[in-house]
Amino acid sequence: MTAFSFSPSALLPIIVLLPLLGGILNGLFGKRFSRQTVYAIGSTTVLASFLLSVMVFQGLRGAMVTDPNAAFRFEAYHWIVAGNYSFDFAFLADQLSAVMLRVVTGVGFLVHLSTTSYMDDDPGIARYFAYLNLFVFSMLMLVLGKNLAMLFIGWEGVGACSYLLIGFWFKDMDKAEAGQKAFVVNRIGDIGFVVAIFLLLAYAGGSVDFDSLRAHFSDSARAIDHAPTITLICLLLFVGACGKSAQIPLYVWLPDAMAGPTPVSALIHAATMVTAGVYMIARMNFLFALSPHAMTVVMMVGALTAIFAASIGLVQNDIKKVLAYSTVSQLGFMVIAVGAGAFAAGIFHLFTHAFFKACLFLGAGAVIHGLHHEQDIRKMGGLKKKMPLVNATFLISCIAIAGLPPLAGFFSKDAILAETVALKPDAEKLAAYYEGGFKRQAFAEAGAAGGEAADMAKVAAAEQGIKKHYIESVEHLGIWRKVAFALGLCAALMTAFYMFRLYFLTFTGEYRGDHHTWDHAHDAPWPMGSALAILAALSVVGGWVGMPFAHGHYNFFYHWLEPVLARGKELVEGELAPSVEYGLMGLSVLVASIGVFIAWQLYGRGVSEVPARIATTFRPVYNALLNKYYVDEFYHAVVITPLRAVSRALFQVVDRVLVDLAMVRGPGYALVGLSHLGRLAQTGEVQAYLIGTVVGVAALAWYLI
Amino acid sequence: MTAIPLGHILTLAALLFSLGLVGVLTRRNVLIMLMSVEVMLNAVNLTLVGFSRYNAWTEGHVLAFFIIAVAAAEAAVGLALVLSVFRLKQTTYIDDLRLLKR
Amino acid sequence: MLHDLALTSPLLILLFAALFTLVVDPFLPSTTEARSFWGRFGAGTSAMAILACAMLWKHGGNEMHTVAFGYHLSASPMSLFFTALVAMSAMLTHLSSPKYLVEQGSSYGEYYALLHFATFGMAVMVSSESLLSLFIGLEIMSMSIYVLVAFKRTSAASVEAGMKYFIMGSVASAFLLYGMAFLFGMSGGTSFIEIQRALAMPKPGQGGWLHLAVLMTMAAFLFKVAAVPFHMWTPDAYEGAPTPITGFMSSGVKVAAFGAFLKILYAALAGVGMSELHLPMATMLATFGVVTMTVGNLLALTQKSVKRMLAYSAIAHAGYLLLGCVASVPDGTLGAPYAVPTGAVPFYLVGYAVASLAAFAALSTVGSGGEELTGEAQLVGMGRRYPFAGAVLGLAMISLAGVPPTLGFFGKLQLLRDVLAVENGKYLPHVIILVLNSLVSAYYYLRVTVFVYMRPEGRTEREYVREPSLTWAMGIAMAALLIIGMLPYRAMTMAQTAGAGVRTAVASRHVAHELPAKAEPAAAAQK
Repeated sequence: MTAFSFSPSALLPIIVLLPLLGGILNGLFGKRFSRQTVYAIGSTTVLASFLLSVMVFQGLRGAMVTDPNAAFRFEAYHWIVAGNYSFDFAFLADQLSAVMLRVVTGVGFLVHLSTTSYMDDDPGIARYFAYLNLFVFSMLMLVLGKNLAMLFIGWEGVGACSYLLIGFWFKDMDKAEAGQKAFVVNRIGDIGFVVAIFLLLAYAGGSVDFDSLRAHFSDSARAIDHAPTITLICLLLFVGACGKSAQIPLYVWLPDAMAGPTPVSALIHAATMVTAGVYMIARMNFLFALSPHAMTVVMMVGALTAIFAASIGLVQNDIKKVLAYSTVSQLGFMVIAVGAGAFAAGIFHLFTHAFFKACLFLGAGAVIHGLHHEQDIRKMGGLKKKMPLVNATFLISCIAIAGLPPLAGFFSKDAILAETVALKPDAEKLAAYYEGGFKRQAFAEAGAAGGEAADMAKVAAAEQGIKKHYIESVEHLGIWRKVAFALGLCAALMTAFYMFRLYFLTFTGEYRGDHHTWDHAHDAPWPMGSALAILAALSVVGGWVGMPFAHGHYNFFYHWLEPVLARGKELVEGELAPSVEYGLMGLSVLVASIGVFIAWQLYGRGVSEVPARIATTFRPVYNALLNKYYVDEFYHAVVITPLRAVSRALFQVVDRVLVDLAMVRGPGYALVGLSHLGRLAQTGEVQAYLIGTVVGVAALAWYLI
Repeated sequence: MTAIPLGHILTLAALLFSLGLVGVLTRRNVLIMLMSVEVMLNAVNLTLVGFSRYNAWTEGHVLAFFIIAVAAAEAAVGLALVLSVFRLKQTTYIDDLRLLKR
Repeated sequence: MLHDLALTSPLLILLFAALFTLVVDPFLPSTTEARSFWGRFGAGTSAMAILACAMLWKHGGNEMHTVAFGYHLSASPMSLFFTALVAMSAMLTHLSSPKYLVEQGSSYGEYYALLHFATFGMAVMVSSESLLSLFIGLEIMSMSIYVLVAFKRTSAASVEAGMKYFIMGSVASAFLLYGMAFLFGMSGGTSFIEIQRALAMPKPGQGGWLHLAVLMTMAAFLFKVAAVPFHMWTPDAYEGAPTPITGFMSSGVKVAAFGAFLKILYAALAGVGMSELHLPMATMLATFGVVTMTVGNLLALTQKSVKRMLAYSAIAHAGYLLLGCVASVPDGTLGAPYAVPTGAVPFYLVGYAVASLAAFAALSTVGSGGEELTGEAQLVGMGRRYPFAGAVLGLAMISLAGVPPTLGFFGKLQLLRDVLAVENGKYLPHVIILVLNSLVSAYYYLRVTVFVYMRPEGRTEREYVREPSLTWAMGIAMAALLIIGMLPYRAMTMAQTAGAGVRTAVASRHVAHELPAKAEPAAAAQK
């Protein structure tokens, strides 16, 4: 069709650099620009990126006609080449990146657009847009990076931008601290990630380029064939993902991150940045699939996070907190998916979740803005009348997230649950991959047992034994899939319940706040309204690209991702009989309907006494949920304030003194104490300094003589 | 002319060097400390000249001249600093310079 | 003769700039504005010196006879790299000085002349091929710096800092000279090549001298680079000095000291490792490095004044660099006659020098009218009131902390890698300590950015010094940090060439002919 020869590869750097340009312009000169100019620069750069992304996507579709494994690569320059190590400054747009690209720039643009009405009275608007553009830039680096080093730059970049944006209203100490909490918790995760990168560098031939890594780990002759090492690397990568994607135990920063402006929550803490961990695991599917043990850990952490966060979400009263815990829970679903080997389903859920969760957050933003920064749902109600547009879009998104057909959330969530039970790792193939490692181990064992002349028969027997043991250990993992499925189903029930509780309390019934606010409440202004409408529409149709197997055995989304996920799919296999699949689908719908029904019973029919009665009856449970299982307090106590509430039980004392003082706070105190001590030596007397010099000479002499 | 053994020259120089170092370490008057540094430098000169004379080398003498010149410059800078300290604080004692610490 | 002059042209440019400033200054009108002219002049001449280095670098290469003035100076890749680096430090210092001096009421032409002299001294130091030129360069540099530190004559802190630095420095000079005297006594010459030759084949009974010589020389250099426990002058001198000079000390002086140190280690003392006197120089350097970085970071942790904090951070960085000094190729044995340092130290110095110049340039914008405000608390609101300076300061801190993808990160990365490569990871424990240290350091560096950006402002609105040449200084530093940070590969290669060029091509050939082969050290000892 195109008359001139043109490769979309060249677009990749432009896509990335446009938001950076916007960020720099707004950051440096924003104060001299008018408000409208700031809006225009911030939004149009991202819009342009989005349009270019669509071109790349379509280009990729076209290229796939001739080459099913087509991908666009752009190598800017060799960044570091040192000995065996090399990092290129290069971009890669394959099928996975292309999906992420559209999500990031698309949702990014809509959020930019709606921000113009949410932040209309904030003086720091230029700074805000600069940060937001820099965020989009970093996120694009993350999804387009051709190697782990590039991904890591983006990873750190989005972390930094998120920190800046959470603490955007830094005059408020709480908010600044929320930012710092996010920063610190993410650092913990990053340590794991960095160590994993270094291990990969060391073991996988000095390159962390995705293409070469995939080639490396697809060929057992070249890569590490030692199963525990691969498991370790996977787990370390997952620690990084835990930090970014808010999984247990590192999820604590995300609810606090709601201190930032609501559009930021929509973009960063719902649609894009927090999904980076899931993206990374899916990207590294060829590695994770090699370690069923690590995958099981991933899946179970995801399942526990899903149900844990969902249960907290049941009773929260802050509109943004509910959504925050819902996000954590949904991220749990995605992690279940990638842990179960259903990589495509995980990305699919990421894709649909981005739409409905961004829509929910923007809707919440519209409510908060309309009610003069009121966030407590107990003081809302009946907003249907005042905000018809917000109401409609919010309802659509709620249905979508609850998992009712035919909206987006249904397909993706159902796919995750179905595949969790359907798939299982192909133990034979894995054993074939690890064969070399088994051989070495067998040699070592046989050698240790029977002298140096290795009896070949004995070695072969030992190898068979090791292999059998391995295959059995992989097959024993199957039980966990059922556990994860059950937990996921419960979480889905809770999700349906708390989302509709939120909806009913906010939009239906009688208004419960003060009348002054009610009189001034207004519907979303047009920029936000249009963003909401687009996102709601996508929440409806977004899932249709991934209709499951049962509907004619052709799933566009899965097929699209196939080139990237082929290796993962090869190692984790399985399919459900259509009857079972329909059954599971029915179960999903049933569970979601029950959740919605309970919510309607309790909250949808005007103010009811029942919730209060339930709360009184199960007061300890209710309190635990309301206070988020006291996890924040727990961390606070164990990590921050020592000995504040010593009591109750002896083990707690031990815990505090031993863990807290000796391991957590201790080093910090010790460092500061040593620092003060060291400063005492700096007396200001020259001759004392000279004594230091003489001591140094003595030390040198000791060394040399 | 009886030659003085090299060892004697080096020992004397070492003694002078140590003396100078002790002087800098113990005296509180900046002027005396400066003098002590000069003693240390002269010990170095002695060593150099001793080596040169013993081996009939020439470069050591040249180096010694350079050191003398540098020592003179150092004295000039040192005295200028002492002067400016004295202008501000009316003291030449190093103990009184304890504004900067910790 | 002409050849000599051509090879030393960067040095000569600096020298003539100094003399010109000194001679012409009295004839200029006695206004502060006229004095400020010298800042731009100095930046221009420093840039010319960098240009001269670049031309020599380009037309140099191994085939050229790079030794000038009879083995006293050279234009080897290492000399040129370090000369360019000190000239760059000088350029940024020249640019950031004028307004500061006017504000502090000590704008005199001599300042710029001294700055030139100091730079000239540094350039001589890093270009030296003999003890004599090394010593002369060192003294020219030190003497100028003593005066510059005390340049705010009316400030008690400044004068006190100068006095302390002077006393400590002259003792260190005496140590260096004493060590040099023994090196001379063993070899009968002052050029590194002669010393190297003599040390490889020590005469009987010279072992004690060698120990003494190495001991004293090391002590002096450890003092100059501010290694613990020779570091104690650093915080006081840094805090009292005028802020641009503090920047100059932490960049130029450090670069020159490490440049000369590498030359001493790899050119003069090379061969020591081969003789039967096994001096554990490498392990010693590594130990001092580890102690230095730990103490430096520890003490920086609780500093409230950013200037003083940066002084301690300079100590910590000296520790990293000392550890980097042991990284050598081909087989990582410091002291072997063919060993040359890797690019780790030169490259790290680029990142460190630029970042600290940026930091001090940004710091000197705070406060006006004679008072100097460098406490953390006084930085509050900088990000809002003077976003450019705030951004420069923040970027410098991030680079110093070694956060990717800044220049500081790559410096550290290469340093770690090269040190790890030595003798199959012999220094792994040291490297682990280094990594832990840089984690600790991130805390206090990032704290500065927190003060710049995140703390709510008080009621008072602070004034910031804004002036074109200062802005230029910050802009150049920032651009260098960003550009080299994004494209470090080229700079790394150049640093590697610089490291490999520690000895001039001619000199290495000399040694290759005359040293005994490694297999027969016993035969050498018998001679």
